Amino acid sequence: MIVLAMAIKNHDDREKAAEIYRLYSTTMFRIAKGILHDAHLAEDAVSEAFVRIIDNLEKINLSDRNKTKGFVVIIVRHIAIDMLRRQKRFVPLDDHSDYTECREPVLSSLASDEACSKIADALAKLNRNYSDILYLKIVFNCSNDEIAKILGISRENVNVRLHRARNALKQQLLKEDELYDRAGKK
Amino acid sequence: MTEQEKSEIIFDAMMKIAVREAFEREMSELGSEEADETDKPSPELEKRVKRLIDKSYMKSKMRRYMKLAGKIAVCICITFTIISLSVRATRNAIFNAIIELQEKYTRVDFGESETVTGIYRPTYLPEGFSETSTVKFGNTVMIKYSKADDAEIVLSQRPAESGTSLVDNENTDYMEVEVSGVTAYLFSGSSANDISTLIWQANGTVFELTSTISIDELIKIGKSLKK
Repeated sequence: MIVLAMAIKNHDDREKAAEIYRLYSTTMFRIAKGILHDAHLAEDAVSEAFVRIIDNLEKINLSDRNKTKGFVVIIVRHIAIDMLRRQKRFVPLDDHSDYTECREPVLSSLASDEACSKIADALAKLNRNYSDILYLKIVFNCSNDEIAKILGISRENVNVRLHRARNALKQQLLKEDELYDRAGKK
Repeated sequence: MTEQEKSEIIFDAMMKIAVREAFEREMSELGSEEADETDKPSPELEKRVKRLIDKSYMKSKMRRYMKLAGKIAVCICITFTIISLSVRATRNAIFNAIIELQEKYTRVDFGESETVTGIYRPTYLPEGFSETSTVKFGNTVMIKYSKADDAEIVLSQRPAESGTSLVDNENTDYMEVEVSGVTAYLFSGSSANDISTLIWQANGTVFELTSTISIDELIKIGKSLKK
């Protein structure tokens, strides 16, 4: 059930929300459809995402197109993954729940820009829930409370996911190092 | 600082840069997909989202109205306490101060009369509406009627001597209509999603009906009020 705790305060907000729909509804729909593989469910996800977008409208600055697009994409992706999880009883977030800490990936041998690119590559391979929460924290500078409101999860869940995302990223880097080492030995 | 701690700090700093880089990369990849005109959402989705936006706007306006009406009722209540102790000039100054605080609102004054002795309720309500709350602020009584689709009607009533009504005149058109033989002031919403307000005075009571329902329905409700 959708809880309507929404905040369109005036005509400007109304126009802003309509403009977000005009600009990004197709992108949002495709992302949701790519996850759910069903057009009707994808539209449900977009509609639910708009409830969340309206509720967080003050965080959107339309003049920054990339950030606006990123923000709506994160929301619809989170909702679509959640819908899929509910449907299939599939819990992708537990991928990395078996460990709490891992050893440090070796980045010291690389130049810093090379190391950053390597981390960015590893991040792109992570579960979307992990990369999205890192985007919200680092790119959007959201507090944990704000992330909780945007994603519709508890504050504790945000803390856990942030911790797991960081560890999953390290794990991914280590996995790539091992593959690289094995390939080198062959 | 241990080596482990140093390495954590370095990793976090690099991770911040990498996360921004990954975000920019992903957004530019998405940008190239946007040119593709196939696989678009249905027109029904647009209608659905538009309804969500309108509903949110309407609820927000209603909340603002209820809040304002409550504040005004409290102010009026306080004012009348002062009136019994003060001169007419003081009374006018207080009223003006209240009104000046409310931008975008139209003022409607009524003459003085006797106080409300009972609560009026409509004998007619559009289908699906039922009473959901009754709130009293001093001499003012506000009754809210709601429907399953979140539409609301607010009936406010107070003694005519309480003086001033404030109407949100943003996106409204003004006209005079007749309600049960008296002149009523109708501020009708410019579009189907804007709020309309009907104000009139009868039997020493000022009535205000506010909703997004049609003005014909609003007038019909107004005509049906009974104690």
